[in-house]
Amino acid sequence: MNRDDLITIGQIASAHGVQGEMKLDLFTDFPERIYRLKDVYMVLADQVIGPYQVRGARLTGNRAIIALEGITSPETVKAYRGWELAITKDQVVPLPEGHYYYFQLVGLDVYSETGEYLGILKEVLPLPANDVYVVQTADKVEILLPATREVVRRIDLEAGRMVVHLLPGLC
Amino acid sequence: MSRSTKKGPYVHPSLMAKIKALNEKREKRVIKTWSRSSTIFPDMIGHTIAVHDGRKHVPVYITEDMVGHKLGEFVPTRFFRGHGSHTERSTALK
Repeated sequence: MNRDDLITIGQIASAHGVQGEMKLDLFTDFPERIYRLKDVYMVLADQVIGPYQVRGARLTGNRAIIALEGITSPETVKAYRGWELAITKDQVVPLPEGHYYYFQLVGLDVYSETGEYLGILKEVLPLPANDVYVVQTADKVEILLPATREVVRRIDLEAGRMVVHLLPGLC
Repeated sequence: MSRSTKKGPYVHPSLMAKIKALNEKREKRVIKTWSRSSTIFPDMIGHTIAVHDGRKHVPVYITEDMVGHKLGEFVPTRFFRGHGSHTERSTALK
């Protein structure tokens, strides 16, 4: 399995108990999704191992406790501390219309309403007021676009492009 | 000690002047500001203000529920980039 085909849902923080359970820092907008997990992969940088079958999962505060098939001792878990738990893209929670995962948007070509190519969407910054899309131009200049309907006019995932209305003073 | 109510909430005079000018002309444009301590006024609703975070100006779209807060509250000066885009995090347009 290729790393680029996997989506991280959490990172192993520590061992829990003596049965090989692991505490997980969650990187998902849907913590309750862990109750429906079936197979997961373990990822560290470009290394991918698995799949592992999930034999138990529960939420505690903002962390999850997960037990995987084949991992039955806290010593094994400690060896995997810092590894990420990932799922395949087809397992992600379906989103309502108008919502997008970061991995869907990053890499889109961004055009202005006049058809001018602006650059590639490099990063999504989750800020308290509104998310901000970081567009990198060919000259490596960053344009920050607020994720508002006023600015982002059209997102076409299949065509891999986003059309934006550049308000005066935005770049 | 909190600010005296006699003075009213603080907002940088030039920022307020620019907002009023845009409202009079019914125009939309991004206003750059370094004034993170300015209070958000109802006049600012619907405008996009690019607030400085120490390195760059971050665009903030002002909505009704932000009134009374300071502009700097919505633009952190430190940002944990964390685990990149390959996570199950989602975004939606406001």
